[in-house]
Amino acid sequence: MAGINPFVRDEGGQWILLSGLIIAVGLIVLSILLNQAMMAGGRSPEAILKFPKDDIREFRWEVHRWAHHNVSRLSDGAYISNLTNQTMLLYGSRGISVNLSVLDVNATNQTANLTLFITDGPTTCNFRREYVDCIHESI
Amino acid sequence: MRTLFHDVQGQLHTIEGLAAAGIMIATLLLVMEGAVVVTPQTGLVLDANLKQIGDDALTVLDTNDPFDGIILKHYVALWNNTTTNEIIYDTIIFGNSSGNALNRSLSYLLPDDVLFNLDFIYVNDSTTDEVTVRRVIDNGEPGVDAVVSRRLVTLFANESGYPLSAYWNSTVFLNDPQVVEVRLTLWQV
Repeated sequence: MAGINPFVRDEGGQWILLSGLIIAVGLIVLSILLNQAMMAGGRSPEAILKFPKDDIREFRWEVHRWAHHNVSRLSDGAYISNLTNQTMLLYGSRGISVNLSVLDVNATNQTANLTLFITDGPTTCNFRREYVDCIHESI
Repeated sequence: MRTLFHDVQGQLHTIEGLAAAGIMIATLLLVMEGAVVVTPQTGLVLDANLKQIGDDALTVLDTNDPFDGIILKHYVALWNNTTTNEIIYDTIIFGNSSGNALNRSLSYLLPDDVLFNLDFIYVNDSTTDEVTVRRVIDNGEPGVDAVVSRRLVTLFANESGYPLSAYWNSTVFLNDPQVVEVRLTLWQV
């Protein structure tokens, strides 16, 4: 027996060794989970603040209000150009580009089809053939 | 005689000790890495929360009330190019004649530890492309963590329920409505 390496021969404390290993692995897993949770907590508000959802919603909402105020006026080029120009300047003063085109207006049915565009650089949003129904929608 | 190189006892303990030290260092590194990434971003949570509070306050004012109509639009329509903090509108229910009614409405809607400024921004004349910024409520200099919430209000000529002030009457025409951006700047104290 003298020739056998004591490292191989020693069989004592196996449970202690195994439990130590399990605890260590558990600690690593918990640390990774904690790390990921903290990262997620930091990323969410960053995404909220950077994504211009309020600007997109506000622009779309306001255009719907213009239509609801008087849908037949949307076919008046000078009228819609005045509204669009002011909105472009207001948004443009803080680096956001917006545009609006009126595709068609049905004064009898009180409906309109519009195209809305808004971009702040990283985020671009297109509403193609945005349908506005001034009778059945409530603003 | 046992020397450093000939002693074969306790090898498992040595390896176990080394492994434990490695695991502890790895754990510490992981936790510290997380803390370094997260610490500067905790302020963003407060900013996002404050912005939401501002958006909610403006949403309440911008909602169509069956009796009063859109309160925010009333405020904007009756603003007569007055100087900062003067009375804008004082006849609606939660306005008050003893001060700037819009200031009071927003003070009711916002928490006590939040201060705010309010500006009306509009294109003075569409042909000159000039954007005018007018401070309507001034509660001081915004702090470093100030956030901004915005709403658009469009004033139309002869719109029933929303009489225009003399100032807007001189700028709003049937073919040229006025788009006004209401900008609320909030900060915590």
